[in-house]
Formats: sequence, C-alpha cells, structure tokens
Amino acid sequence: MSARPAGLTAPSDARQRRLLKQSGLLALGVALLSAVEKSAAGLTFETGCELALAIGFVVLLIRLRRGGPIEPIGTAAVVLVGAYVLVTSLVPAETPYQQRQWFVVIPVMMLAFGRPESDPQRRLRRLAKAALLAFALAGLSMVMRTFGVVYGAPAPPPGPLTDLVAFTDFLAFLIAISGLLRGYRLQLVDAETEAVRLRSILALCPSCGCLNDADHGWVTLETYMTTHAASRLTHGICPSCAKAMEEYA
Amino acid sequence: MNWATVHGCLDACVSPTVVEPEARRRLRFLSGGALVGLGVALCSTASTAFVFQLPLAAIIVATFGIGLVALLAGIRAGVSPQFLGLAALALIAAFLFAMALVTELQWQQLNWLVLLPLVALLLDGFEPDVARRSRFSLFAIASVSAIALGLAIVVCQRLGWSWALPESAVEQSTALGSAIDLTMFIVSVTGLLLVKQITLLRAEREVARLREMLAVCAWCRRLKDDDGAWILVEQYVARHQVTGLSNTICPTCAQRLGVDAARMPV
Repeated sequence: MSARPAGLTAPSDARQRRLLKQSGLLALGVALLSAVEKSAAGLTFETGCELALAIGFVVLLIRLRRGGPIEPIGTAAVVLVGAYVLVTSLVPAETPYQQRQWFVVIPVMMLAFGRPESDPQRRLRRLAKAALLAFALAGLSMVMRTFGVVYGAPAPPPGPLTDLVAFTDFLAFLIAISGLLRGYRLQLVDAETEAVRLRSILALCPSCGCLNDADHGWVTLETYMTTHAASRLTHGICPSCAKAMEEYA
Repeated sequence: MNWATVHGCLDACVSPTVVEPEARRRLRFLSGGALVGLGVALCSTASTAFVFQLPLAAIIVATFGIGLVALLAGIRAGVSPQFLGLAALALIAAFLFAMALVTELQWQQLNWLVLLPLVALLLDGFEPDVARRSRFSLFAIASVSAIALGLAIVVCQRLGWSWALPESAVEQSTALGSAIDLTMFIVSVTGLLLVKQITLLRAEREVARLREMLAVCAWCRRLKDDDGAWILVEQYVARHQVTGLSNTICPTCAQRLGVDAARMPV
C-alpha cells in the first residue's frame, strides 16, 4: 500500500471488526429468539440446530474479541451459516422452499465481510464464486430431499402457529439481508468520503496559479470554480489591492 | 471476463444529458438492475406460460417486463434518477404483490420482497453534504413497505382474496416450480450485487489513483510523508518499501559529466 497525502487515515480494519461484531451479535440474538420460538412450537430438532448455531456465533465473537485475523473469522461465519441452512433445509416443514432461499445469504455475507480496499476484480470473482456455492448447496439440498434424507419429526399441520413461524422467518430473512447490506454500504460511504477528500486535493501550478482539473486539463482558478459549481464567484477587491489602486490613482 | 466492458455498456444505457457523476452512477446501477430483471422476467414468462400453463401469471410477468423496458427507456431519455428509483421500487412491489396472489399462499414468495430494501440500499446515492441528505431514506421506506406488503399478502390469502387455481393443478408442478423460483431468486439477488460492484469499478480505480498521488515540493523535490515530514525520495522509498532503488545516472547527467551511461549499473 503506497502512502496517501498527509491527513488521510489509513483504511483500518476497525470498521470491519465492528461490522463483524454487530452482525454476530444480531445473528446471535435472532438464533436465540428462533430457538425459543421453535421450542415453544415443540420442534426439538430445530431448537437444537438454533442452539448449535448460537454457540458457533459465540465462539466466533470470542475469537474476534481476542483480536484474531478478520478474514478467517468471516470465512468461518460463511461456513457456519451455510452448514446451518443446509441442515435446516432438510427438516420436514410446511415451507421447505422458503428455507432454501436462505442460501442467498452466502453471497451477501461474502460481499459484506470482504475487505473494502481489496482489488475490485478479485472481489467480483469472489462474489461470483459465492453465488455458485449458494447454487451448489441449494441443489445439494434438493437432491438430498428427493432421495429422502430428512431429519426430525414430521411437519406440524398448517394453522395459525405455522403461519406465525413462517412470517417470523420472513422477517428474520429481511433483517439479515438488509443488515448485512447496510454494513456493506457503510464501507462504500467510507470509500466515497475518501474519494471526495482526495478529489479536493488539487494540483496547482506555482508559477501561473492554474489548476490541473481531471476533466479539462490545466485551467485558471476562475474556470475551475465555475465548471465545478462548488461555489459561485463574485467580483470583489481585496484590501491590499484596493490600497495599491488608490495609490496608483 | 472483462468487467470494464460491461461497465461501458451500462454507461451507454444512460442518457448523455445527465452529467453529474453520482446521478450517472445511480442510473448505471438502475439500467444494470433492469437488464437483470428483464432476463429473469423473460425466463419466468416462458416457464409460467409453457411449463406450468398459468396464463394469468405469465401476463403479470410479461407486464413487469414491459415496465422494465419503459424504465430503461426513461433512463435513456434522461428522466431524473429520484423519480426512476421510486418508479422501479413501485414496479417491483406491484409485481411481487400481484404474483403472490395468483397461486395459493407460498411462503417463498414473501422472501422475494427482500428485493425492495436491497434495491433501495444499492440505489441510495452517497451525498457528502449532510444538509442535502433527505430525511426519509429510500431504504427505510422500502423496508417498511416490504413488511407491510408481506403482511397484506398473508391477510389477503387467508381471507381468500386471491385468484388461486384449484390445488390439484398446482401440486404436480410445485417441486420443479420451486427449483426454478429459487434459481431466479439467487440470480436476481447476486445479479444486483454484481451490477453494483461493476458500477463502482471506475470510482474505486479513481480512489486508488488518487491515493497514489504524492505531494512533491516543486523546488527541492522532497516528498511529503504520511506524518507530514518532508523527506528525500530515497528515504521515502526505503520507508514505504515501494521498490528498491539502485544508484545510476541518467543520460543527460552522464553527458554533462562526460561519463558513458551505458557502462553504469542499471
């Protein structure tokens, strides 16, 4: 990483850590809530899955707190969630298709936890790989179900309770995806803020006072100000010039 | 795959009358998203019309596709990005609501509503000026309407306000239909994320280039380091481990000093 003009802070991983911590805590909360809700609905196997997921999140959060490197923790989180979704999509339920849509969380996690300053081309390739992984897992889940690999008790009959469970799942899905994307957008805002600050550093010719503008080449200060509409120019006269003119007159 | 070419194609979809970079970036994302949506809409029109024989659903998907074409035309004609963004969200919301009422309640259709906050988040531009930021973010509106629409779909279905076919007609096609539905869902979400990444390519390259810009003294050629110290080029290179320096002589100086530059180490 080359140096930046003075005054710009290095893109630290502090924000990434905060994002991972917040997502982990949010996911832990959702998992515990689901565990309570599923044990209330009498689904023992599902409750066990939720608790295992919660324990996994606790382990990752502890590792994060101890200052472990970010990338393996992010990858471990993706693996944990992928495994959880695969197992729970094999539980007999009213809504197997709804559960499989959770696989889409894998590419979203990849995007949110990826390092913002890494090479964009590499990031695009990683996103494409994550999408392929989601497809592969969803296909695996379908094939396993077709061949009768199903765990747990039979699905409860549809009623107000299953409606409530399915709607809660929809809300959790909405919260998970938009929470992760909000983290991703904060990274973008960081990058944008830096770009705005960097753009405000202008090359100035010490001899004629012209500015090097990205779009128009070397232009006078007046031209630059009018084309960029950052501020309007008005004509005034400064005290020292006014004094000089008075003396000349 | 050359992503820069895709970026160029998306840029060509945007009206040349729009000059503001932020607005252009938003419109690039919208046109890419509309193209992804159009692909998905074409596939599902074909599958609903010919595989599952659901004429009503096919008509709704086809209408959605026409709406997306109108959106692309609007982007090309230079309509304001704010209006187009709201129009895109309204189009998606209306389409998902209508589709959810064609068959009996299928919970996976509710999850499609996540596209509303997703599109809103990826579309929401970055406004550096705090005073000009709008008080109601597109994301908040989209999230609330996604939850409200989900609730409305469940209520409508449970009250029987839907055009659902008899269960036997749908039952046989459920497994294949859900596989297609899931594929479309993953393609839509990751497609939108990919489009967002592509639209950012140029901005990221600009940041990388700007970061590499160094302040250099026009007279003594010293460089300004991160800590504000003015240091020699050699010191700078050693500190930042950019590359090693080797001492040699340039042809001009060699001529001035009467040395054979070709015999000096490179």
